[in-house]
Amino acid sequence: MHDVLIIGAGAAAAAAAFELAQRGIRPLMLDAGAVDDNPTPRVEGNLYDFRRHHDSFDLHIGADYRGLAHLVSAEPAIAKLQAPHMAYVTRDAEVLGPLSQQNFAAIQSFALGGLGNAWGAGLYRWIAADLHDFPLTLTELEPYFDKLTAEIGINGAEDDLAEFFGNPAGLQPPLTLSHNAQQVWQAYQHHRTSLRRRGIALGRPRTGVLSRAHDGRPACDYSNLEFWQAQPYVFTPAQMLRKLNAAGQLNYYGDMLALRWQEHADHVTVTARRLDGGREAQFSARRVLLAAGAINSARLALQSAGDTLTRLPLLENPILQIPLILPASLGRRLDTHSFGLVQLNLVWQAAAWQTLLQGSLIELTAPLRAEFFGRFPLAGRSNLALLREMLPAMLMLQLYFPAQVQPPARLGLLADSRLRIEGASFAPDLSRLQPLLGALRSLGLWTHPALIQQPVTGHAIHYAGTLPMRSHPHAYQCRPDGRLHGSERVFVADSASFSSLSAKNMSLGMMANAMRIAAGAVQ
Amino acid sequence: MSSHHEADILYRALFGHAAPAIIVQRFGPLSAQLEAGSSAADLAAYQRVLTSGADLEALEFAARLTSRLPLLTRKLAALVALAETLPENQSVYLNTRSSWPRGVAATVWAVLRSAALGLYGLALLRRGRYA
Repeated sequence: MHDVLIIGAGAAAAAAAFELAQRGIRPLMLDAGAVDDNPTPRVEGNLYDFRRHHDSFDLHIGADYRGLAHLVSAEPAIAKLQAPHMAYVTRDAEVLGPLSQQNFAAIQSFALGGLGNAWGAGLYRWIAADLHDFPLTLTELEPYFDKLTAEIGINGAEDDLAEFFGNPAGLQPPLTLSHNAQQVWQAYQHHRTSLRRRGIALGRPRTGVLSRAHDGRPACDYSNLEFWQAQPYVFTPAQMLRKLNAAGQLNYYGDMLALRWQEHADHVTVTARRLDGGREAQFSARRVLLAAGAINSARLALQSAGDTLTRLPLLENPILQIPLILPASLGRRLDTHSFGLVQLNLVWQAAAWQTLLQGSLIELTAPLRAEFFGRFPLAGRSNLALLREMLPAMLMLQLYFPAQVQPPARLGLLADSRLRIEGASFAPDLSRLQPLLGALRSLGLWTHPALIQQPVTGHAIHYAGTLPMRSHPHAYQCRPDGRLHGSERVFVADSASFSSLSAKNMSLGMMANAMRIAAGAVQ
Repeated sequence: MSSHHEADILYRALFGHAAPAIIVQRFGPLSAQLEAGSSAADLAAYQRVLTSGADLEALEFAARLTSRLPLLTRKLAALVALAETLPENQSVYLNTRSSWPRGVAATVWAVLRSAALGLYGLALLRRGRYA
């Protein structure tokens, strides 16, 4: 009999285990647990030094052409997940968590550390506004935000976005900006008053990327390699789990796919399938924390009840991808020593949607240049010439909308054990973006509405709200302490418990909430 | 047509010379994967274009603008990616010397050249009835 059993090994599971370890509790963790077994040697140094002297086929594309999956399958793909080194992150996901989807493109991971292995490590504190629909207060989460900030090493600054990103205490200094981002930042200082009047603020992101060495991990080396392989200065949940496991504070069972639970008077029995032989095994615990991700925690709840009739909500942030050109940087040499992910954040009080939108300004130094071939409406050789001259003058704005701007997707269990997800099309009127595009022009950033990409819902990988937290929960909802309705011993510790989903990256809020649930469960 | 010959024709259309042996070797299996995911009509149209001897760059651009010949576009994009992984091609993809006038001139030239090629490609598409 275990005291606490955690199902899943992603960011929420890692945070729950971290909190339990601080309370002297060693939980049992059940997880499918794929790990990085790519035989390709790690690349050291700088991406572009490597490219100039070595054939980079194995690093960028791979023997199975994984890096070109978007060309082969014509399916929407997340560029970073296509990297050959990231193959393990989504391996066998369609077998372990079969889906049937319409108007939705969910991406799942059954790897140790989950999708956090390939994330950009955006880690943003919640503020009271983010908890508007939750039956809990910010005060209940603040201690956990503080603990995570100290443990992970999150960088950021006290700037105009502090009012949206919360208390900046304990942050590492921000990363060095790329040349393009520096230009934008300087333009923002010049036009700040006018932009703030228009409801637009710019500032440094909060990311789990070390700007200074911390806890035995090195500082960011601006190598552009974080896009292509795990780098120790980028925090991942897998790092946290490995640290707990090495310290004997976690009882980790890989190769186990949890199937269902059954609750008894004084314990819960979880049935799992061994992935090495297919046999079922049972584990007993006094309390179970569901942390398999919003989609698979819902799957477990439906499977445990044998329910193929109920349809649950599934929240996700719709996104727009807006390529931006800095005409003043046209013809500039590529900034090869830079951090290849988010450089700046933007928050827009969008009157047209009556809500806050959040954007990430992303550098394009890391992906293959070929990734953008054909994106310009130009002939082939001219496209190649433009890749060389124009890409070093470009940034990408990934604009996140809160889930509330469209009806939630519906999720249900089919008789053949697949999950059916039916999403709603997101078709924003792009003319409503004009105030934002005008503001971007004043920052020296140009675009055209025809260049704006609108990925299918599911692309943001911010899934939430399938078993939402309510003051007075009904079936498939949970209480503010995370306990699932009708249960005394099963707690929803991941983003399945979210009552709503703001435009802000949810990862740190999810981790802090998982710690709160774990702490409450063992009190 | 052998995948070797196919790679050579496509590579020449973009880079102006024959494909290096390593590109040919890597293109073969990738080309097969791309074809496996295409409809019979797309494949037939692609093969007609390839054996026509027409200006592939102009045809592809016009076809892309009019949502035709998707296999041709995907195969060219695949070659562009394969080529980028070779050290000797880095100067094609990476700008190592800053020059704003050169950047502006390259952009203007790319637009003008594409406009001319687009018109030529549309005429080829009409004449050849490729898709």
